[in-house]
Amino acid sequence: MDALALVLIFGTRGLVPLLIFRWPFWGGLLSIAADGFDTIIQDVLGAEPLRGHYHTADKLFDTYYLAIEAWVAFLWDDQLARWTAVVLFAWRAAGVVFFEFTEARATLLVTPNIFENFFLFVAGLRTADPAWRVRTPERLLGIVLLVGAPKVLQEYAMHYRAFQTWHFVRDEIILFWKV
Amino acid sequence: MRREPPAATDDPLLRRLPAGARKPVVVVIALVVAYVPGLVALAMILADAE
Repeated sequence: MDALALVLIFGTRGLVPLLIFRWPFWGGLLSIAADGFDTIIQDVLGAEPLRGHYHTADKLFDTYYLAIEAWVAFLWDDQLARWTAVVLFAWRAAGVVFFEFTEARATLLVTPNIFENFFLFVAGLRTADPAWRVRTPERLLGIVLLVGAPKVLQEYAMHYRAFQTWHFVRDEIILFWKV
Repeated sequence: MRREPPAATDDPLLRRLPAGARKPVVVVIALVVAYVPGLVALAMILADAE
């Protein structure tokens, strides 16, 4: 079971992000789904192929698909969106590296992954309307605040307080409906 | 100010939608993806506080 789980995890998390190059919005969404899939597949198969290294592998896969998104964003012709995305990605990446060396949980709260939500928002609009641009700093600020606020909450719960999201969703939401 | 009509998309899924519905649909999807984990996080924080 460990080998099957390992193949499924590496196959999914390695290949799905490549879709971002062709379909930035849908590929980004599927990469998020693949991120959740690895925890679920380990739970369903009762396998733990990565054991003590899961969090490191998860962070590497996260950084891999976020880097692909950052590269796609770097090619946007919308200057405001492009440089905001690059700065948000660099800020998060610096936080992840710092966290790996220090294991200071507050780091990930201070460097929240707003980039991912920002990328999806802009990539979605650019997919729906290739002529769409952020255009003004006021609109940019509104978008960053709109998509950033829930991410800060998420970082606080998942990384600072280290709550087990999938276990909470399974036990308190999915199984709640089965009772 | 007159709104610009949306440019044609080459996305095979969004092309099936009426032009005026494409941007609202992706905005809703992007916000659901952003806010559902945020709300789950809030629920975990509140459950822990009880």
